[in-house]
Amino acid sequence: MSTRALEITDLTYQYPNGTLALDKLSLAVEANERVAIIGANGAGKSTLLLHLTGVLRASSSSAFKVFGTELSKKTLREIRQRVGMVFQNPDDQLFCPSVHEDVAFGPRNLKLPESEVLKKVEESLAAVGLPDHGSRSAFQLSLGQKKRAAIATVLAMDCQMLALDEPTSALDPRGRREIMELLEQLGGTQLIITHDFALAQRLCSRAIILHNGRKVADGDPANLLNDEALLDAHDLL
Amino acid sequence: MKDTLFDQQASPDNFIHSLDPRTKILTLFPLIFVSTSTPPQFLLSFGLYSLYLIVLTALARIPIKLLIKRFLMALPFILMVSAYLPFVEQQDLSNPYSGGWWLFWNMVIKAFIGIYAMSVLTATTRFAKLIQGFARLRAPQLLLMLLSFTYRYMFVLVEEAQRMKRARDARAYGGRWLWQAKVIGQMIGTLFLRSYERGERVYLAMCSRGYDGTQSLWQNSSEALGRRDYAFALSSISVFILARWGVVI
Ligand SMILES: Nc1ncnc2c1ncn2[C@@H]1O[C@H](COP(=O)(O)OP(=O)(O)O)[C@@H](O)[C@H]1O
Ligand SMILES: [Mg+2]
Repeated sequence: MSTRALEITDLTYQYPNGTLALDKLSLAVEANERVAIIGANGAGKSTLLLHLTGVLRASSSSAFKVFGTELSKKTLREIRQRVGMVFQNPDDQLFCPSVHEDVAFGPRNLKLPESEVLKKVEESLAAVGLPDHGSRSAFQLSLGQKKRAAIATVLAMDCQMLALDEPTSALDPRGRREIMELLEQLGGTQLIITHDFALAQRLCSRAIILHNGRKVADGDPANLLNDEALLDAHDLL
Repeated sequence: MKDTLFDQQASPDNFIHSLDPRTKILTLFPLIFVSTSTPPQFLLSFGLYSLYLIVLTALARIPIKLLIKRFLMALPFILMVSAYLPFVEQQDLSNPYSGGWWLFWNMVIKAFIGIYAMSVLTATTRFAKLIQGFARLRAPQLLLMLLSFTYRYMFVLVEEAQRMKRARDARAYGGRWLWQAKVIGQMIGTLFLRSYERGERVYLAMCSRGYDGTQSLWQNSSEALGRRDYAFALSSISVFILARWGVVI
């Protein structure tokens, strides 16, 4: 039996100000599966994603396994390398003076030799279609290019799973199409938070609907996203 | 918003632009020290320092307009600390090169050389490369991180402020100045909060890419300087030494 990419049982998270963002959430993602996480604003999607790389830690006892490894202080490093997090706002992810430095940041943290780092940077920028943009600064890129550069920063870490927070939000139709094609072509395990129903139906084999920190539906995107009663009940229509 | 401070039209085939940033740092900073240590009456020395920088400007094809902009930017500060000197300082009778005017000249010419040298450095080196150069010369990492974040988010912040200003003006901003002051205060508060939150998110983004606060952001193991770098640095330093100590015959 192959190990699951992600297995979460009874995940509860409460922000320090008392907001219960995740409420006994359980879900599983198989390896090489592309899953859409859908939910209204405030449903807890981003909070869930922040748990994936151990940036946030569950408030109560729960099981959290990434590729069969239990998330803990000891395994944090390993899990951060396995899960590539792409934040919603690329300005948060591209914090270096040049795109090249941003993409090199992860591999350097992994203590790879500089020649290896250079190779990874070139490969990753080529994979997202920005091979000649390394020397640019992020403010010289369009939003679509910034989002792709942000994806390159995690590709360079050779992760086994991509976790993306609203990768197509605020993009023009061309930028959106480019991201969709890129995700399709990258393959592998992907967890995509999105409000983009077309993306979910075209790319994902499964959709999970969150509402108030709970999972309310899990299944075929084509069925779920055409179920008006379901969508309406969870503020998605 | 555009970046006009640092080199953006990088010319990889230009000799000066393509030098290792470390080489440029290690020649232009010494020039500033040598110039600072030169007595004000060594007019020929200052002429030679300027000539050296003019030659670099020509070789690197730095637009004159850009240089003038930098000088104008610095002018108020230089005048602020030097303009009063000719009127208050008395000449010391034992030293013919003392007194207000010599002091004034001393300050202005050294500021000129310093700003000119820094302009040549930044106009021919991309910011990212410059920071990397400093890192390879073992400058403190914390300082470099602060500089590099400032550079990166300065533009984001200015754009955010411009958006807020537009939103404010679109809603018929005006009225008594007390009211205006209140609005401006709120804007600054909002900007501060947003930057604070951004800082937190950036930190999360760093952590999720494996940063634990101990690694070096700029790999220290670095390629050696090339032959051209040594040649440039050595010839430049020789020029400075000759200009400083060779002219007193
Ligand atoms: N840093 C925070 N502090 C307190 N509450 C937060 C914080 N971030 C999010 N929340 C709250 O947690 C809930 C889930 O937020 P989030 O995961 O960002 O939702 P989504 O990404 O699905 O829009 C919301 O009610 C939100 O207001
Ligand atoms: Mg969100």
